[in-house]
Amino acid sequence: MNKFRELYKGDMETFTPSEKLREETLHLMKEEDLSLMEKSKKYRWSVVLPIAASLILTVSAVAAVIVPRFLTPSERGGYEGHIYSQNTEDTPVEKNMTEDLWTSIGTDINETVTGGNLTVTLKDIVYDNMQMYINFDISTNDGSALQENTEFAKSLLYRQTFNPMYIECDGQKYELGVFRIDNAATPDKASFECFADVSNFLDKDIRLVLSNFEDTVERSSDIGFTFGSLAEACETLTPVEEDDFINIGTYSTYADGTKSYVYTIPQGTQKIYFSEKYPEAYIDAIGFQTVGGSQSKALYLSIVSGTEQNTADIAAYGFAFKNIVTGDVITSYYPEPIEVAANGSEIFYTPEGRPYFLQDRRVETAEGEFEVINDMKMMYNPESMDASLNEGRLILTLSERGRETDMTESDLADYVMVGITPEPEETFIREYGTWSFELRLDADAAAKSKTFDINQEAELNGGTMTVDSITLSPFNLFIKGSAADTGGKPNISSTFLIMKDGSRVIAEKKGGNGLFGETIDLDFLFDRPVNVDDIQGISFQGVDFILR
Amino acid sequence: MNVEPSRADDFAEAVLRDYSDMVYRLALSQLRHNADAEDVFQEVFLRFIKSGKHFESDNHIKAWLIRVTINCCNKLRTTAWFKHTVALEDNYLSASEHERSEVYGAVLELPPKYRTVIHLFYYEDMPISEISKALGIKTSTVTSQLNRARKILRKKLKGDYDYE
Repeated sequence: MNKFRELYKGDMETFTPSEKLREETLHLMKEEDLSLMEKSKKYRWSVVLPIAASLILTVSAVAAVIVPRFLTPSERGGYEGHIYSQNTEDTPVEKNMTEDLWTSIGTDINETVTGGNLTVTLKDIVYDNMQMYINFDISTNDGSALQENTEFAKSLLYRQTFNPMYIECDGQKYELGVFRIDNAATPDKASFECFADVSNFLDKDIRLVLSNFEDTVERSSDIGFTFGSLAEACETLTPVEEDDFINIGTYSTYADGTKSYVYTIPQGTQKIYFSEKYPEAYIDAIGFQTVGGSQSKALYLSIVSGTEQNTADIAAYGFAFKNIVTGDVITSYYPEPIEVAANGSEIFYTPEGRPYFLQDRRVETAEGEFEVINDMKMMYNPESMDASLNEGRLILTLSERGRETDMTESDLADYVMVGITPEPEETFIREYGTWSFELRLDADAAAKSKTFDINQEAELNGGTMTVDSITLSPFNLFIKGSAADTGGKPNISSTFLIMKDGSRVIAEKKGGNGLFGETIDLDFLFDRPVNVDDIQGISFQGVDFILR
Repeated sequence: MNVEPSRADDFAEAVLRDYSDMVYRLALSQLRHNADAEDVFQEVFLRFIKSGKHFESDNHIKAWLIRVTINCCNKLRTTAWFKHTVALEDNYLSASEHERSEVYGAVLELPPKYRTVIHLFYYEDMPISEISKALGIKTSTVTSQLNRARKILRKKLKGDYDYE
């Protein structure tokens, strides 16, 4: 029999951080510059738009080759109405620039190829001598939806892709990045933007290949939640006071001596029945307290399952919360069944994993120890406790990832409870086939970046830095120069474009060498495309460098 | 004037040397992209330096780094940037690469929370109590997550595997 542990270890040990990454990180650590941390993240794609108009010399669509489809739309669950908002969050490049800029650097194509159940329309392309952007639309031929958006199933639009998707050139295949840019307002249509380094493709016959439209659906299950929202369910419950939460132990001690704790909610006395699937289960307490060391408060729900079978089912599959505005299922924290010992006392676990019975709250002494109140019995051997889930209660906690503010009672109106499935995310091919386009990009037509000689010195960290030249394109800034006695690493947190109209455009570090030693060789990406002729200069290390 | 040695000197080098593989592989198991794992790698060690925490032991450092790595991965996973970008030059890690076993591919397909406990249990050889401490969740939760993860893996993996 194969040993899972050995195989997994063997696989993982093939991955090692590069020496360059270690060296760069060590350097950053020694810098102790927190702002640098955020700005030093590497960007995995870049966009460079040409300064003059680009041209596509030839474009031709190639008939699709379709492999058999395995599921019909109805078999997949189909589309039963556009229930939840579907925000793709990012603005595509073509909609993030002025009309004048688009006119000068974008080229309309509008070539269509149909195969299987999909029609793909290559809309337009933007490229210069470094980067290309391609926009295309897809639609189903039978009118079926390209995503699911039902009460218990929602396609994750940001995960939709083609598998595989590449540009073929000189016998090589180059992977493309792609993301969906519409909000699924029209169920059978979708828009995508993809991007690639164009330097290998200029003046060559290339083929854009899209194969097998892939979807990822997040699924939950119906527990027959009998209220319109958690707010309705809990309106008769008074939230447990923060001080009445059970303090299980120290989660972390911070540099200033303050601590964060691990809490759980005590059992309540009311019974709010909430589920048709689990009719014996009820909510007995709610409250708001920090969770897992977080500084913002989460919702705690204490639920009594009612029967052993319910407890076993819930422990196996669990409850989740669903945001009824976005349709997002929040499974950040799985149900934590509270075990009950043979003597009927609930069992809690310290952060160190030590179990104990609780008969009253513990309090922390001035010495940082926890004092046991009212004969709480510490149990160090879980084997001896004869623990079971005997009609035990469950603790659910809800705090959406990324949320920085406290959960409050007013937030409960946005959530209901659902069940989670063993595999809540299902990834599958929604439409099989291959759709391809023949292209040729003209190197002469691809605009080149503009380079400006600067040769300006400035003080930096007690030393001297010299900016020799600045290269600009609508999306990128390249700075070349040198530094002497500046402590090694420039502070890249404050670089921005100074536009002629007085506005600023933030430039984030994208890549480039020269982070160490005496060479400055940095590459930045703007947060929106710009017309190079509108740039007056740049601010770098707090010094303005004006273009001449 | 006496100046205390900076934490960002030999100590930083030692911590980076001793834990870089651990942090990188844990981040990689969570995020599945080299570039994302590298971003988290840098952020974790910078947070370590800036935290000013007093660590009582190597195990304490290890637990703290694991916790912060998971936090950083969760944070990155929720950003629009993460959702909408696909690595171009960096490798997307797949089971087919470099003759890795089907085990690796199956783990990659697990939900992130399950990948975490599987990784810590099977790769870092951490006992359940240590995983509980590192993640700030109860031992019973770790146990149930491990069981659920194994259940999914058994369905995905066709061969017989010893999960001890």
